[in-house]
Amino acid sequence: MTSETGIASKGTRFAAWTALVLLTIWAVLPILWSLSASFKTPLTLYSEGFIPENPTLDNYGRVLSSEGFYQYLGNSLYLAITSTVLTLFVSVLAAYGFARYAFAWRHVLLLFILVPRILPRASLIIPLYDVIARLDLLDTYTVLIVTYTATAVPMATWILIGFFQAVPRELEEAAAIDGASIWQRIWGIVVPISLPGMVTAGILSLREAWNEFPFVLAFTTSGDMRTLPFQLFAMRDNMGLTDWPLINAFTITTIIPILFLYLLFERQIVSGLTSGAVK
Amino acid sequence: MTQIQTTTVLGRWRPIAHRLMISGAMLMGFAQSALAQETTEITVWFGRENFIPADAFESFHAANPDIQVTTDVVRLEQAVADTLRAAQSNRAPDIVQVPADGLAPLVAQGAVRDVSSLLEAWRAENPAALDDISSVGLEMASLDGTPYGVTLYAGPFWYTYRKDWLNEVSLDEPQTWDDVLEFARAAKAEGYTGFALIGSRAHDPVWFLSAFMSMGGQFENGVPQLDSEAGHYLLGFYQTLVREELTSPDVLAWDSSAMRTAFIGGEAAQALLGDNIYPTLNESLEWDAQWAGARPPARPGAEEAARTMTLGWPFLVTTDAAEDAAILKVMQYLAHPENVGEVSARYQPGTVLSVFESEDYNGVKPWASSFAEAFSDLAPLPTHPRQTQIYQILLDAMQEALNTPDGDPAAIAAKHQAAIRDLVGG
Amino acid sequence: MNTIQPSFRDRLAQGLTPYLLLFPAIAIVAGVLGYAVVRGILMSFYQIEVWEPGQPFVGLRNYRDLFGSDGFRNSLVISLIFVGATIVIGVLMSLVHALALNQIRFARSLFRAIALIPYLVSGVATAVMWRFLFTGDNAIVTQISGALGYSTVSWLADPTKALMVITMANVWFIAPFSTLILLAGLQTIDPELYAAADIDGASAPQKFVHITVPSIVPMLSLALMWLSFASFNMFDIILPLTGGGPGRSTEVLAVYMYQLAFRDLNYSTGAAVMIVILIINIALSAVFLRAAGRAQHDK
Repeated sequence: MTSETGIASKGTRFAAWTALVLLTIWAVLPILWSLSASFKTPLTLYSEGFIPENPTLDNYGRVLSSEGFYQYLGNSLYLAITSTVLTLFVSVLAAYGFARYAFAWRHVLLLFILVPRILPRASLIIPLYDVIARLDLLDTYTVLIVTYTATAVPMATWILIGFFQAVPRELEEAAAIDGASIWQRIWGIVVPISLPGMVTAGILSLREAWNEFPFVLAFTTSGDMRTLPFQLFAMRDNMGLTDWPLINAFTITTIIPILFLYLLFERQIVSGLTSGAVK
Repeated sequence: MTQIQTTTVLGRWRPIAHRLMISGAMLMGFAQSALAQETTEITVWFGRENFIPADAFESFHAANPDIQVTTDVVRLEQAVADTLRAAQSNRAPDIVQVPADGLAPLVAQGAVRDVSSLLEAWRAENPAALDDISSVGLEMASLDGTPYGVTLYAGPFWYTYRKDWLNEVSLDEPQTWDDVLEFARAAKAEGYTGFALIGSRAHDPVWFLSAFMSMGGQFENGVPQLDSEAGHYLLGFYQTLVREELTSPDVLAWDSSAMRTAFIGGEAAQALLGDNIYPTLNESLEWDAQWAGARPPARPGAEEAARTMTLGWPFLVTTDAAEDAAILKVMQYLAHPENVGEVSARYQPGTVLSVFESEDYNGVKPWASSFAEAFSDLAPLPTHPRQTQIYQILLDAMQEALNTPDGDPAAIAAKHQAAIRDLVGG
Repeated sequence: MNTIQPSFRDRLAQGLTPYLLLFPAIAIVAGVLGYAVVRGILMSFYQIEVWEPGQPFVGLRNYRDLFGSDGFRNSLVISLIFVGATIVIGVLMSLVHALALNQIRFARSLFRAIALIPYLVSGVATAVMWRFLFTGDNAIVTQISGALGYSTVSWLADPTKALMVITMANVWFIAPFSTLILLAGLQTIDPELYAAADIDGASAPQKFVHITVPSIVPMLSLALMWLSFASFNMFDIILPLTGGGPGRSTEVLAVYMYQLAFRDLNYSTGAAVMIVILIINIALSAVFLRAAGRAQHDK
């Protein structure tokens, strides 16, 4: 603590603050500009500055009452939650295996889980489409949940391994002597202790599913299956003239839920990522 | 015991409960009979939400309880590709709406089927309704004489200009694209954008092709002949707009919305606008006083060869769709003047003549009558199996012309024509 | 005999346990992602194109065609510029950001929370917001560049500037995560090291070069890996933002692949591009990991 202030000369502190302010503005400017536009009307969109003179909630009203909005919202929520639950379940088991056991092919299997993650998501569609069609799974929740889970498991497993390794073995050994099965030890001891890791892995998986776009685009055709990002992408085609205030309001609407969750658990996520992911 | 309990619990609600039970039983009875009847399921992909009639098949289902229609919206931009993919895995809808210039790829891949027998059945049943569809409507859903569906909506791009500004600078309505440039120069002198143009890759180059056809541009077997007098003139026209700053300096980033906004917002003097934009335009500017439209001008010296291109959005029947009777009923429903009238009053013009001539339609679109003649003489945009790739090459040519306004248009045309030749072979 | 058997069974169970635990994860990852990779590799050796009949085996022809085509070479060059610029700018920005966050104490968690926000936004939403930044006469970026005395032509209308725009949008979108990775690295540095350096009279730059950088080398390589493959794979920002234009100036490999497969319906060549991207990604990761390993070793 003292060293932190000790090394920071006045000059360094000034530089740090300048950089921080600039980078913070950089991070929020596009969102704030979009937010500002969402309170304007098409007529005042370009004539007014950052602060709308007569802010209106009309655009949000139109977003919320737009055709199919709640269906898209419901789909987005359903897909995000189910795929996250599934991801956590699968990843906890795998991470426990990696964290607690030395076994043949351990590194190969770890790579096997991690490497496919570096593929462009859009490219997965090419080889997957056929088989999904043959299984008659196009246009179903199942295919989206399965593919979302598959793409989220590597990251979640990676994060949880770090956390599980940090759980003292003695705790488990004590429980084992008391007759706790491995199943009980995982869910009763390791997972509760690693809650920040669970939260981190969970939110990242939620984020990924909530924002997913290429799979919905490729694997669904019916309006009933579509999600908010898809609608955001498609809505401009329906307009002869791009209604920027409405589009910006829709954009902000899609960001709010995940932002809210993130801010709620920010502390766990950041410490989760910083301690788990990178060890 | 149970009986008594029920009575006491239900008490005075008993009669209502009774009725509920009876109606429940009736409902189950209905469900059973519906199952016994076997409903036919028909899936229709619309290219835009806007093309779905406001009635949304409600009256259809009431009249045809044995047919269950499911509608989905698959954007026009991806409808051809999605249909091809779906067809390969036997997941195609029964009826699909695509841009008319996407017909050739679907036919080449065997994804859509000959509907001659269907149209014959229609003629036998209700010839008047079929004849009510303009010839272009049938033509645009046909390839080499074989019909694959029906086009109920078709719309050209009209040459649209500021009539008030034209009067101010004492010019006549442009008849050729040279006149367009002249007006553009005059408008630029007044501080306006002379001609609003789409220069980005955001869309298929249909505005570009509309100008091309009005300039007398020709197609051979569906392949645009850009390396021709018309093509050179077209590229030269685009270059002139940039060179003389008659269009936005941002033209390479302009999509259709930017172009429309410029005209509707009163910044641009001229543009090629779709018929569907006119209602919005008329909310901002007054027809005939401030703005007017006409078929696109001609190339000087090639007035005879000028054609007015139209786009169409046909409903096509896919190869595996076998329920002819139900499909015919759906088509007839979609073609019903009431539905076409409802859609075309707020969106793209319909091809159903009785709607087009109706008072209602002309009341909503007061300018419609002045386009009636032009409407009767539209040339569908030709189609080619490799259409999507040809379009990319056309966009390359267009953007190269806009980016090198001093380049030789003939050289640009030759280079890209060669690329198209390589693609289609021969 | 009786005493040995249970222990054998125990050992067997013990030996099988990790595989059982891993099974669901491996199954779902292999079933979806692994399958896709293997299938993609196979597809790239056939000609699977809507326009050509049959699906003949063509060996390496798709790859030969690719490297001979102007479109692919153009995309490769653009991708390299795009990824190279993103890595350089991204790593510098996130390093500065992480250092600044590590330095301050007032409202630190607030600023740290804000730093990660762009990472939460979807690619489509990012594209929409960035497109809006450059739309209209009063577009905020146009205004700023006008006020600074530069041209007011929309950046998206200029091939070079459009490439800059997608690069900056990409940095905005993916750099926050590398900021976080680097911040994690900075927080693991033992303060004693700095204290010792202070006693030796080391200057701030010296401390940065000799203590900070060597300590965060593993995180740095992780951040570089993240930046490079997130950029190589980037497509949902670029497609709605520029559509690959003007000209083909922003048509990076992932966009090129998407167009091949979904617009031109040429699946096998699209699959070949996917394999090229995969190989580049693996090669880059190997380079970063090895560099990190060497730096660690030197230390």
